[in-house]
Amino acid sequence: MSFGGMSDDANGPDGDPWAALVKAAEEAAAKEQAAQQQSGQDSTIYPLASRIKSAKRERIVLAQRRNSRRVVRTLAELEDQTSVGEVLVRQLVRVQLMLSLRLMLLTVVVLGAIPVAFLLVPSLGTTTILGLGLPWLLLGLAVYPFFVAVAWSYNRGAERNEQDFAEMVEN
Amino acid sequence: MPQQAAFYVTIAAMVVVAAVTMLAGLYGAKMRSTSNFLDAARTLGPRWNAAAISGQYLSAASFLGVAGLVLKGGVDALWYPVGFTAGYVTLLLFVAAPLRRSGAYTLPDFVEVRLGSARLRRICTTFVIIVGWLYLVPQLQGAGLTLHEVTHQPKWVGAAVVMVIVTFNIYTGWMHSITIVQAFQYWIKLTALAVPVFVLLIHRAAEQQPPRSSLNAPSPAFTHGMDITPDRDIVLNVTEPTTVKVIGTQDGHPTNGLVRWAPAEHKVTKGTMVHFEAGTRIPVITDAAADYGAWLRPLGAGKHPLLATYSLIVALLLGTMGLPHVLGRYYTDPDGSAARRTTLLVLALLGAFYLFPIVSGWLARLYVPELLAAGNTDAALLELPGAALGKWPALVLGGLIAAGAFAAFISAATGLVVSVAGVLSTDVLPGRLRGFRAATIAAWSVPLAFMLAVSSLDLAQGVGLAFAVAASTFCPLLVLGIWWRGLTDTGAAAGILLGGGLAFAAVLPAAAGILPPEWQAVLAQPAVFTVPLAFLTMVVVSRRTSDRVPGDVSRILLRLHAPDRLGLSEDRDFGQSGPRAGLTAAALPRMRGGRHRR
Repeated sequence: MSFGGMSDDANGPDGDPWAALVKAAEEAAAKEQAAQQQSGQDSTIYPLASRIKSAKRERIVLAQRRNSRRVVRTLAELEDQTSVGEVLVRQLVRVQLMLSLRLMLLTVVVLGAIPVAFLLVPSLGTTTILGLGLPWLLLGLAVYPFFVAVAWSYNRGAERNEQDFAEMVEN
Repeated sequence: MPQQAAFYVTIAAMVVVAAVTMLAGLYGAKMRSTSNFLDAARTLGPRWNAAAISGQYLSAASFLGVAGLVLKGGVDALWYPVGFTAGYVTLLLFVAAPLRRSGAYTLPDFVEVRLGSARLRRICTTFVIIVGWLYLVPQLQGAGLTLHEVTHQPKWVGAAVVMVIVTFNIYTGWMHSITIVQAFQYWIKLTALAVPVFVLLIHRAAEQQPPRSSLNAPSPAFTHGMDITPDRDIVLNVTEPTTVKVIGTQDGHPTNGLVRWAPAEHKVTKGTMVHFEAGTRIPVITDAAADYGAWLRPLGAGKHPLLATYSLIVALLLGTMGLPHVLGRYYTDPDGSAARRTTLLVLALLGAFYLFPIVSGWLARLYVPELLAAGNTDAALLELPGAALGKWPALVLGGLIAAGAFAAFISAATGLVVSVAGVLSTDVLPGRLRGFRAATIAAWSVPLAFMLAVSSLDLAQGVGLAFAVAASTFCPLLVLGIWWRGLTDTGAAAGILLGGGLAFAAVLPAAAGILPPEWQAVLAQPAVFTVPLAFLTMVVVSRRTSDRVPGDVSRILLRLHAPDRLGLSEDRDFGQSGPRAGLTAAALPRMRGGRHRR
């Protein structure tokens, strides 16, 4: 969905405040109708979509929340890069980047420490646990659950950041 | 006779793989009854797409190469599968969701969305083709090797067979870009490796052999007289006086008869036949761990082990995000958070898979150490069942492994050829549909010619070169493009040309097999130098040209990072251009006709 038209409307209405209000109301109504049509279409174009259970359904419902006029206005604000919108976006990008960098640092430190540890403490390289060498256990087995754990915690954190942002925009 | 039986069993296994894949394709076609196949694929969910990404990603390098590297390098080789997997952590942290929300299908698409420069798009296209070609060479090499091991055909036969199948797939649009089929490929590969490994482990446990001797045990001896004929120049590290029969060239002298080798390094020229008597200690090629102790301990092999290890980690960690056939698959996810969930699952699937090539490497060290003298350690997995088991079990398991290996070549090569052909036909060659067909031929003929001219590297090392170039070009482009509003097209172009150019210039001699061994550590794995250089160049040049920052940068960053439920992301418009990477010519009209997420 494009909001490209919103900024033009703001400049458009020839100085008459009443005309501007009417135009905005009309536009909102049209948008709502279009959205309804669209959601109606969804179920006819995708026969599969109707067979999918609650999880998928929920996402479509969530998407419709943007149809409230206030959200549209905030989104337009975000897209037009008014000072408020700009600050919000910069903040979101920064928070997400910090989360990524933190977890990247953790991954790099953990991976990078392994060769150094083996170089500095050669005895680590010959330690065996249950008949298997420690380096084999570390690099052949233990790192993979570690990766999954990093990814899992990133997904949680990133989704939470986005939820915070979305709530801020919608309220 | 056993040779013939092996041939038939292997062919049968390969036919079964093809049949299962086609059945999956038919099932997929049934699922695809809606007018728009992308939307249908998107209803499948992250679990299918994760298996599909893994299926396409696990190539010859993972299936055959990792076991061979473990046989050769021991614990140090474990960095390859670790890096192959960790690349997805970086991809997840910095790229997955924003890239999906950008709506870009290929890297050049992303550049156009983000920086809007046609010139930069062309530069990216060039490097997509370079990376694709570098990645295709080991796939063809692996195919040639597999068929050679099973049927003793010359190496080009296997490569040609795979390329014919791949071209057929692309022309008919059967076996690729269908998520279900690629997902099946993952499970086929996992089964084809897991079953033999379990059987061999049980066999080993039942074998009543004395447990492994001390860590410093010398390298093993030939159990029977054996001829080796290396297919490249090799240097053998001989640890005790050894008498061999040589026909060909050794240490630069043409020789035909018995030679006594003193303990030193001895050079054997390509094509020379060397006969070892039973009981002789197996000499190992110089880049392999010299003895069992060095094999078991970290940092045991090579000239600059620490530098090489770190450079490899950098290349693999940052290169995955620049692989064209991986990025295209994310387009199947409906939105950014689905792309995240998919990547999480990919990490789990890859971790589960890599356990098996690693264990195979162990088993290969026990059962087929003589491969260390011939230098063709990539054949470890293929030779393993025959060396460890009796005739019939070996036949069945060998067929299974060969079939899985072919699944690996075909799925990875299809993804790569489609990606390369896609950018070739849209951005390089003129014309539309015919262009795409011609581009398919062009996409695989160059790596095929290269593979025939030179095949000097191990599969996994060959793939490592592609990772190094991808990491030195597309990683800084994507990371800075997604997270830094100051990036300009001039800065991006400078960084890609410098980082990618240097990386390519460094890996080319290694790929062509003309690299002196002492330069191996620096040149064959240049990422530790070229990646920071590319980042630095992009930042500095972008700062200098800050007047070229696109005016809509804030709007684009918002689109990349805004939560999916706000509905700001936009898919790229398929109506305007011809066949793109990852799309069959047949699929495009459907896509044009279909409605896209907007």
